Amino acid sequence: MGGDVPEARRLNRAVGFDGGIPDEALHLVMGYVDDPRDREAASRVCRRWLRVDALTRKHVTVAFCYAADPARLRDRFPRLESLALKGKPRAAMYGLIPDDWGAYAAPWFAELAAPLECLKALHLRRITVTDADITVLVRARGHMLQELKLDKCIGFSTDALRLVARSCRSLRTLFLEECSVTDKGGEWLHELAVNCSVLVALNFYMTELKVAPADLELLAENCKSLISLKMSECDLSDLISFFQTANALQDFAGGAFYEVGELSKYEKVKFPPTLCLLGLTYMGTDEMPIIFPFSTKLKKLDLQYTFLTTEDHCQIIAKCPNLLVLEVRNVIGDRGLEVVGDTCKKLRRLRIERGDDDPGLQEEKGGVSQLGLTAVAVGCRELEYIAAYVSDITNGALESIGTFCKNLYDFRLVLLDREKQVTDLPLDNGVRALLRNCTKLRRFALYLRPGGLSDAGLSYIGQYSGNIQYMLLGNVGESDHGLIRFAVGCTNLRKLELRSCCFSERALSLAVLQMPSLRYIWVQGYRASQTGRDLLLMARPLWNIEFTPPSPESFSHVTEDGEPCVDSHAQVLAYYSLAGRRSDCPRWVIPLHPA
Amino acid sequence: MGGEEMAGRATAAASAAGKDKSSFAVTCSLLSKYLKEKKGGLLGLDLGMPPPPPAAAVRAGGAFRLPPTTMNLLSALDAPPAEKQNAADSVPLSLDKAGAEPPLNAPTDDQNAREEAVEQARPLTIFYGGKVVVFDNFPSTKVKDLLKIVRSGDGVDKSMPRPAHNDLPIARRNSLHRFLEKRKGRITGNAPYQDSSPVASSKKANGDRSWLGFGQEVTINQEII
Repeated sequence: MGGDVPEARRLNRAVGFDGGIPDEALHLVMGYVDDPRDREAASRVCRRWLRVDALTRKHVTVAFCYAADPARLRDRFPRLESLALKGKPRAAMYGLIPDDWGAYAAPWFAELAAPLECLKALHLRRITVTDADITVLVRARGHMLQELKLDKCIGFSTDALRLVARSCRSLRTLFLEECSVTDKGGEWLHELAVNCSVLVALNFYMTELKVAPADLELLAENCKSLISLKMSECDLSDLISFFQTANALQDFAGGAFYEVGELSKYEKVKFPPTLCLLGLTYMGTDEMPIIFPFSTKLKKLDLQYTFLTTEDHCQIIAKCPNLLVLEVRNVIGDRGLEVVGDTCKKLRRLRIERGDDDPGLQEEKGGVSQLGLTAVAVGCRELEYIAAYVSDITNGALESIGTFCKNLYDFRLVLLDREKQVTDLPLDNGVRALLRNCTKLRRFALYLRPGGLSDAGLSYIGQYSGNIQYMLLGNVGESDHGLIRFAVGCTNLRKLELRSCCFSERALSLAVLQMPSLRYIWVQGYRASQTGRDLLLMARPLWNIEFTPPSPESFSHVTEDGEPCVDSHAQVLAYYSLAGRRSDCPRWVIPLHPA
Repeated sequence: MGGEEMAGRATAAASAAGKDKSSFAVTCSLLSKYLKEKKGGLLGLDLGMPPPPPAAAVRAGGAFRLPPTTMNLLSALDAPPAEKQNAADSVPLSLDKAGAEPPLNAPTDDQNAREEAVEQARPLTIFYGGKVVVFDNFPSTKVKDLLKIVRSGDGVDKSMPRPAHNDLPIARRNSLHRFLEKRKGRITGNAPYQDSSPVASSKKANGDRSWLGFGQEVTINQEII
């Protein structure tokens, strides 16, 4: 750009005052702007840009379904092609939110399915979707639907899947992972195989759906573009033919090893040569060798649902130098993590889930500590995502992560509560170091125990929160002071989940008012009153406050000075909404504001 | 008001907010401001402020974002992150149930102090008795005095009562829970699909059936039926 052009003239041209950019050109240019934040910025420049953005916006994510009104969304983005909608609080994935809490697809489909004529991709997460809802969707959009993702949804049956399979011939992606589906028979898969020849990805992993291996073979035959199948349990030896036919398959998860110690049966399974993403359910020590021939090709390995020991993990991971994603339970142990640090130099994502607490139930003495975490931090410098359930931790380990994992954008740590002794608490300094050094961090979770993080430590989290947009904090801080000081620092925090904390309602409200970007907060386990009265301190326009009162038994528990103590049932959910108060709250959720 | 000042603030805010702050967003804000000025004022003509976006995009904060109307009271907190430290210093100190009392008023000699220490004046927010007061230019020289006044009163409640019991267990993820329950089923030998090889029976643990059905409802593999 010519450095001497006066600013005023340059800007004039940009906005088209001097006969500059015509609308068509603006449409075209806008079409290249994909990032939602950039789109939002562009839409706020002036009315003309708002209009052009509205007409050219291809995808919208409604991060919380009660924050927006479907009709309004339809009116603003009439040419929307792709919509993502999230419902129940995340806690639903941990069994903490009853099914009748809410988040229904019905009003959305009613308003959007027919009028949005360009809609071809839909992603619903933690939402109740009925057969009737899917019928409405398919009737309006079936001929165009390319992607249907029902992610941890409940309420529908295989009848709806049959309808989708029969009507949506353009379907490329059908995703049903972890849905609760009423199984009325496996014909839906047969219909899918027969009708949807352009299918690329099919996922019914972590469901209880029963399917016939013959239909999977038919799927492999007809859907030549199929590169991903993640399925429910099915003996792997029944899939031999499927794997032979689906020779372009890259991603497989599920199956099952039903017969322990029968390696000869499973040895015959030959995986497609392109396979590089893998997760095998119930795989044990004896069956593990079937992966060895192609282990160096593996980019993703999911061992969360296997029966492998610590030693097994060491052995198999040593053979996978090209892993980008690794998901395990904490049986991997520090030893296994050392192997990860030594071997998986390209690792981007690491998830260490919580195994069985009870000793003696085949879970070898695993458990992950600062030793393993440090080994991983030092060895895997490309890490972007770390989620770990640890049994022990030190400040030093967190500092190491801060020092070595510069690309980290998502960090989650849960300190399990089995071990009485933790090497190094509080974690104030380690947390500070990690947050200061991992400047790309956007999501952060820290779940500790009393004494795990002092008020000063909690204030560090706020102070060094940087660009973090989502946080889950559990058992942190010592008092309301810590919470307020934390809140003052969080300029970019948009979504906050708090659990098992000692804070009062008053402090929660005041803290919320301190956080300028906060649009959603969920709290469970705090010093709740019976009515949630002090929550009204955060009442303001467009801010919905919903309260689940503490259970009657715990109401009688008070501390020495008469203050209510932490209640395990009381919940608070507060969020910005342009849709007004919820009209479909269950009986046990009280909308406090708007009244 | 002038372009240079805006550009200066923009770069400062952009660099202070972290490397990833979208320069596109900053530029759009600049453009928007320029348009409004060009059209002679804030809510001018047909190039006035766009309507509030849907909640999918609702967000406050940041140096240049038009704050939603609900944020007016907290304009102090919209200051660029470089001033985060000072905001932390002005944390309200008393969270006791003080009852409904009138909000604190600024000291009367604020005017003089402001003139003297205009470079040190920063926003101050006070939460008191359920009310919020915001001072745009509270001189730092007066902050110490203010803190003295507050501390000498009720005093900081250092002894915030700890919860008597906090027995909220760490919740387990549904998918993992289901898997672990199924595994228990296989170990205790109650699943019909488990064969009777010596390997399997040797792995039988305490066979405690009470573990089944603990916590969440167990999803039994349909082959059992």
